[in-house]
Amino acid sequence: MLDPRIPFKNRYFAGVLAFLLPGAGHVYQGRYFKGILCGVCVLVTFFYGMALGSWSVVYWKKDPTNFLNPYYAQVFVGLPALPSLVQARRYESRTNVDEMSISGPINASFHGSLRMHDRAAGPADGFVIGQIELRPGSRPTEGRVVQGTFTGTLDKKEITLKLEGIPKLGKAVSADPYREIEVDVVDNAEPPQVIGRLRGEIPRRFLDRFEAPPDERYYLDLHGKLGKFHELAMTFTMIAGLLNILVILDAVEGPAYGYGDGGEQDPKASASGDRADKTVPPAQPPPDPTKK
Amino acid sequence: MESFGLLAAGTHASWYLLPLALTVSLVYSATRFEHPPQILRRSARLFVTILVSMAALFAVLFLLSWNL
Repeated sequence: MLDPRIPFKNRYFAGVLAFLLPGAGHVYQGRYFKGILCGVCVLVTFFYGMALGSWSVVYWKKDPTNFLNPYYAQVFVGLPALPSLVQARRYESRTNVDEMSISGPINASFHGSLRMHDRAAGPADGFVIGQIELRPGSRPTEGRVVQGTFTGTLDKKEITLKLEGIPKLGKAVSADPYREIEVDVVDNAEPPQVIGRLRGEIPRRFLDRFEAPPDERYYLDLHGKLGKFHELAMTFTMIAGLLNILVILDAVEGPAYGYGDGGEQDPKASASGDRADKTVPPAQPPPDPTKK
Repeated sequence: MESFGLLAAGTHASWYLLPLALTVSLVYSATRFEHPPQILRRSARLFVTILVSMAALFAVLFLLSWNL
């Protein structure tokens, strides 16, 4: 039975709000203290877990062999976890594959390695870091290619490389914060001759990696880096979801032990025979609908 | 933000029990009672109970693994 002192309003709507945003159902009902308390606790636990797991522990990946998918608990945090469903569809889309062309210009920071085909033709092999700039182009013999430059350092020495050819880009949507890219290094002749290969990573767009499923390689890499903290991060996000189930039930049905004047007893009051909790206002009878 | 996880990985995992036990006891108590002072009082009691229970479990495991 619902306690008449609690303003439930439309309690099912409050339940939906509590699911979508932890604490919002209580705020809608005017139960601000509980709303803010539960909202802050659930959301802080959830996002702390995500940060602890390098923002890669909340995702939906269909796995028929695993009936204990962590997302079954994480999803109850509501809106903060729901983008996983959209990202899973994008990740599993047929268009999310390695690409051999670019649709628009790329201007991004880059780190990776340079491997020269002919050592005499240019700089030595080594680790490069800097800025890569690519734009779509075309050549009569190869059709659609990319053209651009790399400006940065090769083993701490300033270097500028001319890039041209058919690139190789990793899939667009994945949890890995970096996207693989490969492109040929060419000389200044006309037509240009391939003298080496630049291979490395550029930052992936936030919307392409937030709550997206990880590739096997990145998943193992993350496990290697974080160790047991990967499981700990997963646990934080799962507990946040499970706690929000309690919050949703509280918004719909009210507190499990009632308003508080029937459960806890003051020891002094118990000794004197008074069993009610004096800190809680006494119960009022529900309003009689026949009286106006 | 990616480095946050690596930074946190330097902390002993047991310390994560404190914020986790705090949030669990606060939200659990908030869904058991309605009156704010009672929520806070009961969550403080639950928090201490969780910590004492975990400490007792730790002590038992520590003794069982003595000289292993």
